[in-house]
Amino acid sequence: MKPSVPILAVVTALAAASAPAQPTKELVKAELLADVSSIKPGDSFSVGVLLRIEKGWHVYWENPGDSGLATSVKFTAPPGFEVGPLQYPVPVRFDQPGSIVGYGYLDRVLLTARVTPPPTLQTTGSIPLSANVHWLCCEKVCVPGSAKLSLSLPIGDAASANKELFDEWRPRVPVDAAAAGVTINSLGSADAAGNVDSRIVIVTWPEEVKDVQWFPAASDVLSISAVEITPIDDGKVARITFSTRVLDGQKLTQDKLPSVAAYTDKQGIRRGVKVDVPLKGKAVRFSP
Amino acid sequence: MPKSLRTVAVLLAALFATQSFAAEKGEIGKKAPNFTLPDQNGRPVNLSNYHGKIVVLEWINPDCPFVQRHYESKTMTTLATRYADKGVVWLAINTNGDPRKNSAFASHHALPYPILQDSGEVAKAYGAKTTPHMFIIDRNGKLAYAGGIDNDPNGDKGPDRINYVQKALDDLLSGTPVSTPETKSYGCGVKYAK
Repeated sequence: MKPSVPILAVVTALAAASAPAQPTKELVKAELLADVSSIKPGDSFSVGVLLRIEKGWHVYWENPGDSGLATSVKFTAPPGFEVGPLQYPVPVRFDQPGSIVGYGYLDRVLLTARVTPPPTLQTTGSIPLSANVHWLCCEKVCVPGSAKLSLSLPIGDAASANKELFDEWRPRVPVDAAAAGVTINSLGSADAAGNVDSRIVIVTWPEEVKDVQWFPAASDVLSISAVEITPIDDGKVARITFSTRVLDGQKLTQDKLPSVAAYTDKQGIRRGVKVDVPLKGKAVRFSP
Repeated sequence: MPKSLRTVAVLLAALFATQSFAAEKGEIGKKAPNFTLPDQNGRPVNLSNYHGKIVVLEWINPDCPFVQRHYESKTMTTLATRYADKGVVWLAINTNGDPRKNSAFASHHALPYPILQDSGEVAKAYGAKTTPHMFIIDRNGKLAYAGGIDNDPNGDKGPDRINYVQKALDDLLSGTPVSTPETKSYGCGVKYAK
């Protein structure tokens, strides 16, 4: 699907007292793109779904937060192709009235996956790729949406395509702490059930960073609240504190809570590092 | 060992700092907050009038796709009707919604229960975050269940779907403790501001 020119459309006023406040214009435009213009056997490449979101509206991260629904993308490639996991770039945090916290994306997001073709390709024709996308787009109301997208790539020398777009979004996919040169120390107390009053994670970067945000993975059994982030001293360290509570009657089955610490590096690039927070035991401290 | 003494100091300072965390509302086992709210016809409904009965509170928003899906499949209305025979009271609450929309929605779905209009105070007292968000109050006026209607935000679990409200009601009616008193709710955000 080619990118379309933005259409200026008359928008039905959402606040109208009359029947369903459903906007008439397309809230989310979705396209399937690749970072190569042709496929070379054995050479990995990236596919991505680009969502362009109506101003003022948002879609959600892998963990939508207190409300909403995660954006889901299922990529499909022919047999023999390996499709890696969906990669969510670091989100932003929305704080809505009533302490309702949401995690997601405004304006645009590129949701990617790595695809590895088999070492030999029998066919000489084009390779069909597809993506099945579902989202919930919210502003004052929420509107679900979906798209079935397809893209056909010839076999060739895997020349670069959409380079600017993929270069923009690649750094925003969270990486392992070691890969970012980041160390993590965690301190907190928990009872045997994993109930905790206060948990502290100290993240130390090799250079100064700004605008640190913290995003926990979704959990059916944990309630997370009172998240506070404090930059320390020279800007290389951030202290992240939060409370966790196991929901009444639920059992904590996991030892760690996956999370992402997002930050802006010295070059002004938004990045993320994966932080696994230990959930059991007392005064656990670790560095990778 | 931490990298530097400064990190140790930071860790210790953080640990011994005043531990405060946002007290969560609507605690299981505690007295459910009382309220008087008008229904869509302006008639006041006082929760304490139902003391001695099991009461289900359902946070609702006719514009929310999650709510619309459940009303198309009659999730709430079926439960409410079935358990009304067993004396269970069902109250829907719309925070900062449009009362005319509530009336239209109630007529369209022939709701066997009222939609109460809340300005945010009751939602805050219970800690309601989503539509739907379900709370069940036992015969002693204590909160016995808080959370989702079921475990199926996408509506695609089919036979694997667990209706937590139905399970909790069955537990309460048979005099046993609710086996799953609290779950994560899902839905659109409750509108705390107009």
